[in-house]
Amino acid sequence: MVFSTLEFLFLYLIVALGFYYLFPRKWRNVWLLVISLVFYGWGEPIYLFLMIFTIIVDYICGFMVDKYRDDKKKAKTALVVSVILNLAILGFFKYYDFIVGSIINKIPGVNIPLLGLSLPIGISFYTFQALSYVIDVYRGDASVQKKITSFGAYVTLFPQLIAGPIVRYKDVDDALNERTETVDLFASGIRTFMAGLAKKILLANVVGELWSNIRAVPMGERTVLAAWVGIIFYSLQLYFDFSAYSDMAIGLGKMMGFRFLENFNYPYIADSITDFWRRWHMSLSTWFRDNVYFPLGGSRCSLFKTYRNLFVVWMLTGIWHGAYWNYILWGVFYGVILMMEKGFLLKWLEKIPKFFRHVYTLIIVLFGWLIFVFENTSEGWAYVKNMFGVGAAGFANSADAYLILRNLLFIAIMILACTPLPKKLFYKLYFNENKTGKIWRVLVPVGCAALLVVCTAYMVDSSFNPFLYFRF
Amino acid sequence: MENKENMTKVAPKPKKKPEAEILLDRQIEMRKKSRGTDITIISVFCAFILFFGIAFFVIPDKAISKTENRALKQAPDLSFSRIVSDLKRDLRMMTMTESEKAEYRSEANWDNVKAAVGTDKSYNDYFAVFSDEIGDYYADQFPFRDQLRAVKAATEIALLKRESNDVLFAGKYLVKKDTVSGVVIEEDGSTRARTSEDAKETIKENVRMISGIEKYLPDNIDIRTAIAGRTVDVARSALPAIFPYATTHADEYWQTLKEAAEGSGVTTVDIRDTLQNRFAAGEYVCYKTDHHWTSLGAYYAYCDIIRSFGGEPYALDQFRREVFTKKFTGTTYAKAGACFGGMDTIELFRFDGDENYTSTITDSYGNVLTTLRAFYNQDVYRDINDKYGVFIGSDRSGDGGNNAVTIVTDNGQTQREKMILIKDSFGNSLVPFLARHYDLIVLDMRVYTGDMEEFLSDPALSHILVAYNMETFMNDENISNAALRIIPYFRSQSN
Repeated sequence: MVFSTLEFLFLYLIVALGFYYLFPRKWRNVWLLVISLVFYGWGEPIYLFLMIFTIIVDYICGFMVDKYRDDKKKAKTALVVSVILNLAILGFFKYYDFIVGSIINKIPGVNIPLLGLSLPIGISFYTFQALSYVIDVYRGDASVQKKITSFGAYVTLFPQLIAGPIVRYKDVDDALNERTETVDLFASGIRTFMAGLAKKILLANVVGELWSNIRAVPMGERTVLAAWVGIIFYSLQLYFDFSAYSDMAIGLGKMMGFRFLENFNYPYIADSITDFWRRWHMSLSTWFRDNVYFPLGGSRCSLFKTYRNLFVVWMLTGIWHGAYWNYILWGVFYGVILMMEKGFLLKWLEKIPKFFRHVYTLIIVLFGWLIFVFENTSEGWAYVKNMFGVGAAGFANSADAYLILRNLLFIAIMILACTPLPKKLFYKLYFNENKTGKIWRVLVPVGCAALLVVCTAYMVDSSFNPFLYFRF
Repeated sequence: MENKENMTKVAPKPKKKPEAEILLDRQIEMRKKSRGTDITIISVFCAFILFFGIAFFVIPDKAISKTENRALKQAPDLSFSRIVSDLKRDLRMMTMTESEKAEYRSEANWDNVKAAVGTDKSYNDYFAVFSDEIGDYYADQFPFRDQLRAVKAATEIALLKRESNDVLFAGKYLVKKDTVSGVVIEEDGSTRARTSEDAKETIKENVRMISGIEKYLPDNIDIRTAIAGRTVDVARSALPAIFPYATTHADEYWQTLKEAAEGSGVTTVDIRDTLQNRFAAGEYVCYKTDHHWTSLGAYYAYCDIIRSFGGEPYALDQFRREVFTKKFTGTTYAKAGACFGGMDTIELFRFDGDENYTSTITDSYGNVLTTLRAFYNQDVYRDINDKYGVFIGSDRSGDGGNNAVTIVTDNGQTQREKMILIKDSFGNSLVPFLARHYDLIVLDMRVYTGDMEEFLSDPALSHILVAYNMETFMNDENISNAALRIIPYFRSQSN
């Protein structure tokens, strides 16, 4: 199930929240587990067995790690079992066909049939969450969770189950056992959720459709301008879509008393790639930093090792996004750029005007998405050639003018939405002590209602509501 | 350590509060102030989702949407046994390799699957995913669906986007953009969306079929092909100045048609230019909210067609124009969800004595569905949404006038020639005009599967008119259904 659907908002959420608050505190985690399993099994109930298996395995492993805290060897064994099992499941469902089809079957004479399994939704997100529990317990960063229902609720927690953020166990350890749901947290949750919903439905889906139209144009008929506009649209779609899911997750979490960390921090205003990755999908970067980069030695080792560590982390980041060559290439691309920035680029960048630093960053990011979006590398290559005039239908035509002109206001709104300005303005007005604040505090519920109506209208009348992360 | 602590105790300095703390205090203060707002937000949100959530269950499901003129999704089967059967299906398929799965899922294999799992479901029901079904069901049966769709259209307009769901708001007119529909099935079984090149191929193929008919037709039968423009072709003067008509493929289609017709000697009647000029002159020749031409538009087309056959059309003042409805909203309105030029008026062009004409509508097997006095079915189509069906529509209100065979005759008042009209829905509103000249055999080759010998062997047959609009002509090859019946007949006659 995904958030931006009518059945989520007008059926699931009512039931989930309604009973959540009807039940006494001690039942709430059990209810969360039950309702989250329903959420998970909505599209493919078959994978519920897999989910329950993951929960049991990691619960036991966490338990063992804690029990043998004084016997390092045994604790480590439990940790290794958990890591291997989790990665094996993830590897099997996500990478089996890729490894067999794109690598093993390339050996002459080998022809192993592909399985064509559909990927269990959100598997990359919840596997990493489950792993983080056992690791955090092993490191002593979090205490063991004795109740399997509470642990199950953590792994399956429906707000972030299918598209993140990846919540580290230590960040919700306390909240899981005892949390207070308050009026202002709930209201703030609604505001965050609404911002996410609007971003997904009114911005991401709309710009996504424009992008898919441009992408569908046959190679020889696309102009250079359309190709550039297209990839910019895709960059916007991906950001709005992904950050919208995180916003909705954070908002839903707040409605039930959880405080998740932010996952995006205006990545498109970054002034270097290093900065960009501190702002984009922060929970994933943090996860890799804590669980791969630091254990490998991070940057506190020889120069060679530091670069090796960077390379390994970015290669893994690439693979995490999907089992295709382009994702690996994408990871390596960022790995190389980050190494360069670490080596010398950042020092250079500091010397040039801020404006050019932003331009540099955005161009790199744009080319990153270009690698990211085309799983079929020949289609991607042809598209890149299009952008530089090879095989394009001229530089621009009237169709481009029409496309841009009629979306001018929409584009302006999107650009504004990429910056922290709207949020800053909101806080300035909302928490204002004089009359403006008063008026504003009356307007916000009204705006909230209007936004709900418009979002519902777009949900009712839409054929385009993609879920982009089914590869993750 | 101890010393320091003692000192502070002895001499407590009046500390200034750090800025962060002041800010925090202020925020806490503001939070208290905004508590009322918080409660309002929660109430608004909860009331909203509860209202629609409950209304969805309380309001009975509708079978069809009147505004969109289509069947709406009904509640899916959510029984326990269905979920178990789905689980079994998924488990079974999980053990298969990719290729086995594709074979298992193929429609050709359905009988084997059906026998193996012992289900009485249809292919589509068996492989349906219940979450998808629920999603579609919610979208289709959602309370106030029509009003919400209008909200969306209004929002798109407010954002200056000029379009909603591929329909352009061109002043008063709703214009469906120039798009190609349908899919191509490749040799390896995969499918892809049709492109403008495919559309051009279809045009050429259709012209080839018509030229085949022309070639085998005896000399005493005249054939003409009249292709009507779509609204995007006719209402060009209403399109916004920046609309890139030139870079859509519209002109290329007409060019393809022209070249193919000239190359193969097919005689076409150029009614697109006529209507384009009439439209530019401010005449109401196509509907604002529907893709069809108006009766007036059909009249101008009729004039060109009759002249092309060498006849003399009746003048406009020789018809009595009767208003059938002023509350017509058609297909483009259904797609866009809103309109800004008001509703459309449907006129019926009457003439003296037309009440003595009859239109007999039959299905492919010759069963009579309805017999109309003259050509209009006012009673059935007045109160339903698909009002264009008033033109030779049967009493089954779903068909909108697109029936297999319609025989139109003046019941022997005069000795008349006969015309076969091979048409899509645009042809329906040509019937009242053409019927004044000929007895008509109206065939819709999208529906008609029967034999044509009976019609072709009629000694009174003197004319064949192929009347389509470009939308059908570039997307559908049903003309071949006619050609493949007509050509063998005359070929065997000439031998």
